[in-house]
Parts: sequence; C-alpha cells; structure tokens
Amino acid sequence: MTSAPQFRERGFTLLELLVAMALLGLISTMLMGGVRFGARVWERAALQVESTGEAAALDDFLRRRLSRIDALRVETRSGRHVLFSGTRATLRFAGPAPTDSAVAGSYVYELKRAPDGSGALVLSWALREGGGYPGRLVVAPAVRRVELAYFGAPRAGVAPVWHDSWRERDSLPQLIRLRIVSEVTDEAGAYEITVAPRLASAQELGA
Amino acid sequence: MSPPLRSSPRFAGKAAGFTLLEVLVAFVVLGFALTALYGQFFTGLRSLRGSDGLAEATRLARNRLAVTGIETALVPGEATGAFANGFTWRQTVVPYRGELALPQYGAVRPFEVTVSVTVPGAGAPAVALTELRLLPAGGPR
Repeated sequence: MTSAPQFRERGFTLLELLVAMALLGLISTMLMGGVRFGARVWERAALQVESTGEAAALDDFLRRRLSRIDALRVETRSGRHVLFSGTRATLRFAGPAPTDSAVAGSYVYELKRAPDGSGALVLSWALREGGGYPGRLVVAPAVRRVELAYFGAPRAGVAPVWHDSWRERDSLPQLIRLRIVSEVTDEAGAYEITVAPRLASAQELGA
Repeated sequence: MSPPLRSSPRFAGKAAGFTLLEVLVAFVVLGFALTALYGQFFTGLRSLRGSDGLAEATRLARNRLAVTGIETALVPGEATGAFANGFTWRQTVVPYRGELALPQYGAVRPFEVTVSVTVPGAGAPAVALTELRLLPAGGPR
C-alpha cells in the first residue's frame, strides 16, 4: 500500500509536476493552433461564400438580360435592321428594364470594357428614348480577354453557324456566347455562358 | 448522476487528487474531442468547395440547355458528353406525358428535355435541369 505517513500532506512529485506542465503546454499549443486555424477557415469560408454568391447573382442577371433581348427594328443608314450590334468584344442590344423596380420601358444595353483603362468589363444601360435612368454594372473587374460569339444564319436558307460579329441583321442571333478570361484566373477558369434569346427562337418557330 | 470522483480507495478520507493515469486518459479524451472539432472545419471547407462545384454545374447545365435544339439537334433519347473542364453532361429528351393546355398552333408537340451535370470525380449528378420544349410534330430537328 502507500508508504506516505498517515498525517503528512501528500504533494506532487517533481516528475508529476513536470509531466503535468508539459501536457498543459502541449494542450495550450494545440488550442492556440486550433483557434488560429479556425479563424483562417472562417475567413476563407466567408470569402468563398461571398464570391460564389456574387458569381451566381451575376450569372443570373446576365442570362436574364441576354435571354430577354428585344427584336427591336430601327432605321439605319443601310436599311431597316434589328437593334443588335455585336462584335468580338462589345455588344449593344435593346431589352426591358434591368430590374423589376426600375422604370419600365425599352432600354438600350451596352457591354464593353470601361474606357478608363481599368480593364473592367461593364454593362451599362439607359432608356432608349432620351437616355434617362442610366445604370451600370461591373461584370468583371479585371478582364484579360472578352470573346463574344453569335450563332445563327445570316440569311434564310443558309445553315446557322457561329459568327464573330452580328451587326445590321434582320433578326437576332439564335445563341449568344460570352466568354470572359479574367486577370486572376487562367484559361480553364474562364467564365462562359451561352444564352438563347427567346425572341430569336420565337421567330424561328413562327417562320 | 455519477458518484463523486475518487482517485482510488487508498486515499479515501483524504482530499483526493487524480493519478497520473487519470490525467493522461483525460488528455487523450480531450485530444479526441479536439480532433473531432477540427475535423468539422475540414468538412465545412470541403462542402464549401462542393458548393462551388454545384454552382459551376448549374451554370454548365444552363449553357447546355440553351445550346440544345439550336446548335445541336434535339433527338429523343439519351446523349452524353463532356465539357472542357472535365464536368460531364447527360441529356434525355422524352415526349412530355403530362396534361398541357396548349393552344393549337399548328403541329407542335411538347418534349421534356433534362440535362444533368456531374462534377469530375463524383458518382451522382450534382444538378439536373428540366425544360419543356415545343417542337414541330414531324419530329425534333
């Protein structure tokens, strides 16, 4: 049994104390590391949630705008054409109000690089008549390259293919593809959407 | 409730401490608890990455739905393919069986187009989108 005298206070041996302190040190190191790790995870998670949410909202907005393009016909120098002018890097089209709360009417949208040299891709809009209620949205902050393509048949009786530009045509393209290679992601991480303007397919079905 | 902690019967009647063994066991238990806790962080991060994959899959499925029937022919049956980034898609086109109050605009028939997209390395599709398409009754183009 025990060899300690009956009425003496029994303390810890030096070894026990040392072991206890070493373990305490170990535990507090683990805890501190855990707290730091947790904070880092929290930060990263917040960033990721924000960027995922933003990307989803932007994707939704762009798809909505591109799928609701109006096949508005306007008089140009070379005749009567649909108000839709797309090149490899810019796009101009007509459509309904950008948001449900905006003033209703026919708006003209323009997608192009910001003229200030920041490399941002910006979608701007304003009422077609008078240019009122303008607005703008930064689609991507730092863009290396924008590639727009348009799928459709330039004339009736021609097989539809992808085109680099779609200007002064009699109808909307059947598909619009927008590819954005940003400065921060590589080619594989490029953002790409393909949208079918609904009125284009309506023309097609009716024809 | 459990009985009050006693280190061992030999110190009965005195202020009872813990033996080294008990302390060690306690630390081991604490270690397990901490490991489980940190494991949750990793699980959280993994599911976050999963949500990114889901968002990407949804985007790709919408792209595919836009293209099908316009750039590529819409043929009843099944088709599969892969995107450039390794995601794979699977498309089924079946005649719509449900009731549909369609105005009789000549001869169109409703078809149900389903596109499901699978994240690389995953077994089941992350997302499946279904759309109703009206196609000429002569058969889809």
